[in-house]
Amino acid sequence: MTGPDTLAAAAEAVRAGTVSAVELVRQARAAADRCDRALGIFDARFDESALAAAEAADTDQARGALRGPLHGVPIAVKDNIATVEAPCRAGSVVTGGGWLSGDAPAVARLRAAGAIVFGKTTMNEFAIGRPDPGKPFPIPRNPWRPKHWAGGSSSGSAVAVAVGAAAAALGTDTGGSVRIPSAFCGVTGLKPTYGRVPNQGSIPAGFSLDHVGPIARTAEDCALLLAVMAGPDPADPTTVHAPVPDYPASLAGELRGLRIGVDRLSRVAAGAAHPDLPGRLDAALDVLTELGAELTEVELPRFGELTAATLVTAFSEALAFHRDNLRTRSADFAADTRRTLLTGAFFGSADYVQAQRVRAVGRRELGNLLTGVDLVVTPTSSAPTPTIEAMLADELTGGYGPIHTTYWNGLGNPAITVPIGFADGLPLGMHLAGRWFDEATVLRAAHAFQSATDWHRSCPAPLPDRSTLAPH
Amino acid sequence: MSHDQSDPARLLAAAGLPPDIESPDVVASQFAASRAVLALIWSVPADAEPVLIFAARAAAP
Repeated sequence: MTGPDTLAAAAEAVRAGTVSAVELVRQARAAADRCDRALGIFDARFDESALAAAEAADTDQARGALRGPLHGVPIAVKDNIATVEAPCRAGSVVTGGGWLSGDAPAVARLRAAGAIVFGKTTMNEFAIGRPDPGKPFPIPRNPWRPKHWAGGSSSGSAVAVAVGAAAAALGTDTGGSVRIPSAFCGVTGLKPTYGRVPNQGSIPAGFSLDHVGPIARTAEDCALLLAVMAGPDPADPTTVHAPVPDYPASLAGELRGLRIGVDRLSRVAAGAAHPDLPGRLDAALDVLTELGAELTEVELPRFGELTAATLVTAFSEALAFHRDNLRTRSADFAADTRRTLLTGAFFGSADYVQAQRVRAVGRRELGNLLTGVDLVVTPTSSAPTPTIEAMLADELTGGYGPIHTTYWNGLGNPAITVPIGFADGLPLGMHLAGRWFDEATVLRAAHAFQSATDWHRSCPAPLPDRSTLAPH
Repeated sequence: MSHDQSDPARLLAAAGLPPDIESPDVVASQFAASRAVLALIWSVPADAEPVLIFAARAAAP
């Protein structure tokens, strides 16, 4: 199977006139036709409007009127982020005919830069919990091994990028929902700094933890998308007036002298770690060293306590948002969503305040650590994605057990996951996190790594016939 | 109004959630998990920390 182009290559080809926007949309459509039924990628597709937008983009290109750096490139959007094409279902029957209308600011900015919205992608209900086979939504499958889970909650967005059904996609990340499916599907996913990209126009999961972020094949693609989406929005009180660097330009720097702390988190993963992970991570760290980075072992402060504080916050904020519907129509929620939300009732107001205090302690202590190093590297997950059967059966963690992303949502720091190889034929990811508003350094290190490696170029093999797959 | 923090059924009721929202086994396991999480956050000495829920503006350069 020929690998899909990167967003950067596709955008450059449209600009140069060597490929048309119509051809890109047709390629995305062909990939979606080939994979969607087997993998459960899209909740809605906009083939006709995307093709019309592509024709208009090609007309504009022919007369030299490019709309922006993403002119004519098809993207996909997680179905909890508003687009003019269709309201959000968010993977839930609770939304009925759909919530929200118009474009979210992040989508509007991408569209103004020339991007074409090709479809809305599948997700865990309301970006919470796990899929429910009893609900009328597909369980997203992993393109590398379809008996395994795609990861969540931005499942369809990661799969769409992995199979070439979109040049890039948007996700939301409240506990790792951009980075987890990206790592599990072998693509690149960025959680920006909290407040960097407007959350307005997306259905909240945890007000103080939510981040809209890009999923793409490369860090360079993420830089292009972030450059368009970043910046304050007057309707969104969580956004900040911090300067927005030229992210694509910031990729050019070398890594010589960059100080990277390494925390393998083996104390956290314990028996859940895959035996191949240490070797894959060591090989990736060797690449960073060869590129000139100075690596030192560190221990992230209060990893368990901050992960716990993030969970208390997330469950409390999610319950506050969904309480009325949960009271009156609890059976309409997916089973795991319902369980997660009711857990929010077990946390009191003092618990919520203590969780915010712990986040403040963590922010200070991590800030101290980040005076001695510029980035911190960990595994994104200490194991590849579980089978769908195992994920559904795991009442305790739902397959999230070896994942290490939630810590960073409580802190707000920018973080990216990049592919670093495979275990049992399934992708593994390396997680790089930086200082608040320093996405430029995070992206530069990830881009340098990808300039020296080929893992991000790997593409899944053609899919087996669905009749050969297990139930679910 | 105070609630018995050791009784999951009363906590659900206080939140306005129906008592049969989940089976007693599920409620008990979720409640046990919540106690483990709370033990972790209350182990952190954080009495003097200010609470900045929307802290992005404060932290911006």
